[in-house]
Amino acid sequence: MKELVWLVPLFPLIGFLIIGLFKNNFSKKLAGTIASGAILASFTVSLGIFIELLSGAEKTFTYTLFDWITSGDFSVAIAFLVDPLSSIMLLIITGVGFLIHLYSIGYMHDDEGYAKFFSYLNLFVFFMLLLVLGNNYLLMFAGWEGVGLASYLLIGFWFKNQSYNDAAKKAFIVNRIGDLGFVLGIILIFITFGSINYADVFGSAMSHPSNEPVIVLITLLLFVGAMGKSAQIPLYTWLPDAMAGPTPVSALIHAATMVTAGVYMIARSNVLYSLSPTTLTIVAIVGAVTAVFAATIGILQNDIKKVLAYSTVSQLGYMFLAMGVGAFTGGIFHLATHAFFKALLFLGAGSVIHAMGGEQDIRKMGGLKKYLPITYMTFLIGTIAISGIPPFSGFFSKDEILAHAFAANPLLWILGIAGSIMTAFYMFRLFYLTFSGTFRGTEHQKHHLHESPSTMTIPLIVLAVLAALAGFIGVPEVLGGSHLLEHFLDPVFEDSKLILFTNHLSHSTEYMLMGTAVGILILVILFARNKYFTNNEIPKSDEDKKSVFANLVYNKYYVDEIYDAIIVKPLDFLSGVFFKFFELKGIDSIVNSTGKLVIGLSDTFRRLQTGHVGFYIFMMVISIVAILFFNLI
Amino acid sequence: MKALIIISCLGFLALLAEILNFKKHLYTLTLLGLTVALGASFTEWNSAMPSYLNHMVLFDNYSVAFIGVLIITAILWFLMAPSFFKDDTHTADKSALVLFALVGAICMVSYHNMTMLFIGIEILSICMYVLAGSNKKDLASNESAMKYFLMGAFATGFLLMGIAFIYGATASFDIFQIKLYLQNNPAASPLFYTGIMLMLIGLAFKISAAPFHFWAPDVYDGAPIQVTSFMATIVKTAAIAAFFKLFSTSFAAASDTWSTTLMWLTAITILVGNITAVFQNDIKRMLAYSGVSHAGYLMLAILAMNELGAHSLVYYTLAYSIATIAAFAVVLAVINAKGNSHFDSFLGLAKNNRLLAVASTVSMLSLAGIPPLAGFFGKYYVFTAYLQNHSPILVLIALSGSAISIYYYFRLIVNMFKFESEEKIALSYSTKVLLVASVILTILLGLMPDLILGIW
Repeated sequence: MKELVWLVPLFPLIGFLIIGLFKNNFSKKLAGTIASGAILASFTVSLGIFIELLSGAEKTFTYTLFDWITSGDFSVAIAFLVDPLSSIMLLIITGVGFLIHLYSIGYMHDDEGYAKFFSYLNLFVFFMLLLVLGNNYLLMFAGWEGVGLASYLLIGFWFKNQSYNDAAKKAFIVNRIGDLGFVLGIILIFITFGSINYADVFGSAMSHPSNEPVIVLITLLLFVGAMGKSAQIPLYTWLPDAMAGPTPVSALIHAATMVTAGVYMIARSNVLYSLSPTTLTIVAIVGAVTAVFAATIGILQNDIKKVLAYSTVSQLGYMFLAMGVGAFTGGIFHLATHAFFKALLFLGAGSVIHAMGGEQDIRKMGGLKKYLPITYMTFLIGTIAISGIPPFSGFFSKDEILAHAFAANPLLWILGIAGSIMTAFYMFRLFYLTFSGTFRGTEHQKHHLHESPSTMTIPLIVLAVLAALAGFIGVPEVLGGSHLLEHFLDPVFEDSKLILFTNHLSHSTEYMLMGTAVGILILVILFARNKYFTNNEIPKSDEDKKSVFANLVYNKYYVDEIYDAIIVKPLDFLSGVFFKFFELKGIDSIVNSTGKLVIGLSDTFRRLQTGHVGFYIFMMVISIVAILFFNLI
Repeated sequence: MKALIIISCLGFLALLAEILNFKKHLYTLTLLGLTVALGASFTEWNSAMPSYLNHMVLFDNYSVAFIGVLIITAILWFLMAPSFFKDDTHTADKSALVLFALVGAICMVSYHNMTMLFIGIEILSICMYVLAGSNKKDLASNESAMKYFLMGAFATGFLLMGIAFIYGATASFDIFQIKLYLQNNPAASPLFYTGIMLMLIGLAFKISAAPFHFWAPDVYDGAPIQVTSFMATIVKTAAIAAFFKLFSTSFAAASDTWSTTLMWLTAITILVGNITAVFQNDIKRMLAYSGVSHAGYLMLAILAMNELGAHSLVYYTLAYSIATIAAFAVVLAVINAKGNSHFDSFLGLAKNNRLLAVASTVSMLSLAGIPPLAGFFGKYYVFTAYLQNHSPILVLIALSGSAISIYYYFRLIVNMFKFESEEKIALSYSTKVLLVASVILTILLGLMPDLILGIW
């Protein structure tokens, strides 16, 4: 099966080409079927590869398709690396991707750009697969840029709305900053190691000393890329705006897969990061601070998708925290569980929005439990999973991260717990405001309320099962498990383990940490239940006066406004200056006068063409005389 | 040699067509014959005994490659030009003239003796004089034929004088003997150098290099458009091939004496051709000046004086001929539909007929030298060949000329896609075949230059 790995990205590519080229000739049903079928085919192959890796002895396999670029010392192949890490990513991308494709068949049903939507989705999956399958940094970068493009296209999918276009542009531009770091990182890798193939780079990196400046610089530059793609402080601002895209897009790209590319990149480069403890510390701090910071914003948001967006930023923070404290397995574990429950929550939110006729404000919802029973149940499971209540999946993955954080530095643990408390609060706030109490929308909306069609509810159910049970692949030893995931991923991270020294917690400490966390969480959930279920509190409307702090949080700490003032405005001003003086007066006038000169000359030369043979021959004779004169005398 | 014989026979057959009354089938017969000739000439590739008639003609790989280019161009030309033979009583005469012109062209690329060169040029030229005036009732056509003849005769005089001088110095017409003479007499007589200069002038006229290009726009403009496209492609290819052969064989050792002059001519040709084309409002005249500028690029290959120069010349002339024939086919269709070939007649052409617009876009892009089309690699290899032996100044001039050419080539493209237009233009079957084939060939040659360059 491993030899067939090239099929995995090929199917979505073919799907994209077919739908993209012939979308006008297709019925909606056919376009949706082709797109979903392509992903299902990829998933089947991915599953085969996974099973083969699980049972086989060979854990790493490279499949070279062809040489891509060869120039001097520099050579890159289109080659796919199959190892436990990439095969887990393949399963998540194609598995969750397939469910979301299926869901989209129902969700996008009435959209005029239906076929276009599916072609973009397939394009996205293709690039995402390229990103995780590449055996070198350049191929990863190609996928990286490709998913950025697909993300841009899908955020601005409803391009007739200008603010959606602005959101798409923002996502693209903010990501460029990160991409610049990534590119510089790749160049530096090539300069330092003379290759950009993972195997060569990590192999020769092993002989470098720890914290060598150049490796610190490389890892920091790569991390800048990760910050952009995975929405970490300070480059997170695009992700909440990216909710402008259709909800399945938010679920697939902005929750389950693309935004975790940064985490994947660090996990893939774990050897480099392990050699650079300084960067790891920075990664951990950025992750922990992002986790808390985004969670605080989530508490006061009233848009169902915005809450989930900030929640995503926050959860990505946990993954980076995990990477930063050397818990690479934990980070990937959380990546996987997060993919399930966050995709579930987004799709659930989509189901709610679908039922509400496009309404996204939770203050206008309420009491949806009886109208959307399946959505309600699955959303509840997702909420419990993300809050980290045992034995749901979020508990195991988050616990593993927190335990490692504690071992590294208790302060990081405190930040992690704080974020976790807020997560539980805003998620249950969201849950109660949406599903319990009485309906607060218009009569017309109430009349329209209905459970979503089965193409939408089946993915919800499947994801709910995964969100509930996925944690069991990583039950820690202290709870009597054997952490299957860790053993599976061992070959990828074994080099790092040699370099990186990590503290180990005693079992009693672990029990204590777990107990504290779960205890606090239950209290918080009860508090949220009391506030929003028993007392039926509704968040204030926008006009009402709020406390200064609430106002600050509600407005997302004015970060967008600050960026606008200190970066966008000065750049605008500068570009205005350059435009007026350099462009218009300098470059334009040079270009235009060159053009005028040519046209003027042309007009002159044209007049030589008099039409009189006598004149022509006269000109020729002069030329001949000149030639003979200069050459023979 | 086989191609030469087959095409000569075709010419005689065409003359008989009127008498034996098979005019209707002549066109098909000609196409068939040309295809056979093409195949036959390929069998002479790497031939062991390429020399015929006491070294009068030599069919080495260089000649065979150019014969290939000429016949392919001729086939495309016939696909474009069926209307040239239809509405007239002189079908057979015209066919015969075209075929004999082709025979002349083949002599010009395969000569090994300057008599043969001269005979080839004259066979070609005299046919062309007549063909240029073949639209008997059109004043412009008559004027064009007259101008062409007068100036052509003038230039032929120089050529012949040059041959005579060289014979005077070397006592031989054989180009190899002349080469040997130069080797044995490094200080050749002044007669010899004068002869080189005179021949250079005569050949520069034939390829329409500035300042001997004045005839080209007027003749191109007045002659029937099919004849114009024949001049722009086959005549130019044959002339440049003859030019290259003579100067790279016989006069190579004396390159110090003529290369400076040729460089000046090249620079002037590229600049004058491109700059003057900017102001033209008629596509035929624009293409005429474009042809002048391409003569300049081709002369770079002569100056290169190396193997790559010869190979790139074959590639370049093929790419240029295909694009030019396609462009003229479009102009012909537009003239048929709208009455003239003014730039404004191309407004909205993309809506009139998509194939016309696509084909002319591809050929304009190729002529302008935009990658990955054939025209780009033509220029690329010519420049590369030139740079192997020379400093880059002339290439910089050529590049700025190319930059200027973007203006007038793109002006046509922009016009085609500018405005809406409801009117539809129908195309004949052979035109469609020609346009599709030219687009495919232009792209294919661009993507795989080794198809031509790899055969050596």
